[in-house]
Amino acid sequence: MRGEGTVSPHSHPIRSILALAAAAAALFACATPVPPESLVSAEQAYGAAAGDPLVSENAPVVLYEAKQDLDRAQATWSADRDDPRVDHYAYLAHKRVEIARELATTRVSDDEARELSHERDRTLIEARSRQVDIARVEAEQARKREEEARALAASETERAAALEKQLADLEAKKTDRGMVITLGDVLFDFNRAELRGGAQQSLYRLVTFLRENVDREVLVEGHTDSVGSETFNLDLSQRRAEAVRGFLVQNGIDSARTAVRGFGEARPVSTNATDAGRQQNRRVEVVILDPGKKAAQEIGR
Amino acid sequence: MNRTRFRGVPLVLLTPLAFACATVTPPTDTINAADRAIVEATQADAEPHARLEMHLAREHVEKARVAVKEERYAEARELAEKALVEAELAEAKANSVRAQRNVREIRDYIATLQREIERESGRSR
Repeated sequence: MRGEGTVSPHSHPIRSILALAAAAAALFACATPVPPESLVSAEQAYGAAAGDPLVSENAPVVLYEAKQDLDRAQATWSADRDDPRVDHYAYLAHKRVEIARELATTRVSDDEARELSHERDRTLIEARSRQVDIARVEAEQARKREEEARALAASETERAAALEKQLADLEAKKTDRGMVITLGDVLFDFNRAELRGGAQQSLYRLVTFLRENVDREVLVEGHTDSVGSETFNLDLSQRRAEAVRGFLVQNGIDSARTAVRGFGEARPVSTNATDAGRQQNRRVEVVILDPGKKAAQEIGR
Repeated sequence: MNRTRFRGVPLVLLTPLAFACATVTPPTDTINAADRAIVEATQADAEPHARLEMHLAREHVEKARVAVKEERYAEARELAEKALVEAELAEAKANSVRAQRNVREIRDYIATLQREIERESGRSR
């Protein structure tokens, strides 16, 4: 109801204009022939391209050429409806619109490629720098490992040197049984098997050595000179050797790493005819076995 | 184009010639331009991207030459003009395809790099 009321006052002039236009169209319809399909199609193609900023901005020259062809087609058609050149110019216009579209696409793609190549470069730099970071971390790790290996090698060399020094300090002599330390009779009072107070000091070196070289086992062997009975001397040498072993055990050396034997006067290292010779014969020898050799097995030899 | 040749000629004589302008001289320049455009398109590797256009361009330009021989200059000109736009379109299509492929390739490369970065950042952590 309301709609009809609002439309009717305005519809009158519009209607009359439309009617007039229709009449005019009917009047001129015969005089104005419809443009050929080729021209209509070219006009539409041009109109669409010219209205597309992508084309009009990126391929203005070719688009202008297309327009000239189109103008020529229209002018030719206006002059002579039957001129075959209308189709020809329309054809050229159509092709140039297509060229303009391809050029525009190329231009836009080239711009995009330029933008992307910057992004690609940035990404490439990022990728490389990450690779560099990783390489740096890996190099650092390799360097640390190498340093540790070197430190280990150095400490081993150091240990070997220290061992040599310790053995030298113990005045150990190399024999085919191992390193032999000879502890003189100054460790004991005459005919007694208890260690003197001062003797303990020199045994500490041996204790230290054995603590630091846990793979070494020792034979403790007692010897006497020929003064006194053989039985007594055998017993005395055994007890003295035991006293030395006792000291080692008291100081934390596993007794399993030690073996003890008294030889009495059986293995003199010097003459028993002189005081000096007898003094050399009264001794306790500690044999430091080579690594891997067992004291319990070696003591019988 | 050829109007300079008629400079100084009385207007009365020129008027009928103006209409016949296209027909009286062989379209040598246009045929040459079409030939050049075909060469350029071929160099731009247009053949695989625009077979029809290349074929039409060659066909039109050959027909244009025949028409020139037979002194059908107006037809020759139209054929040469057609050949020219076909060749230009062929080259434009080839360039466009190439440019779009270039964009795709760069995109793919960036994507590859980004995957690499993600993988490596996972490795370094």
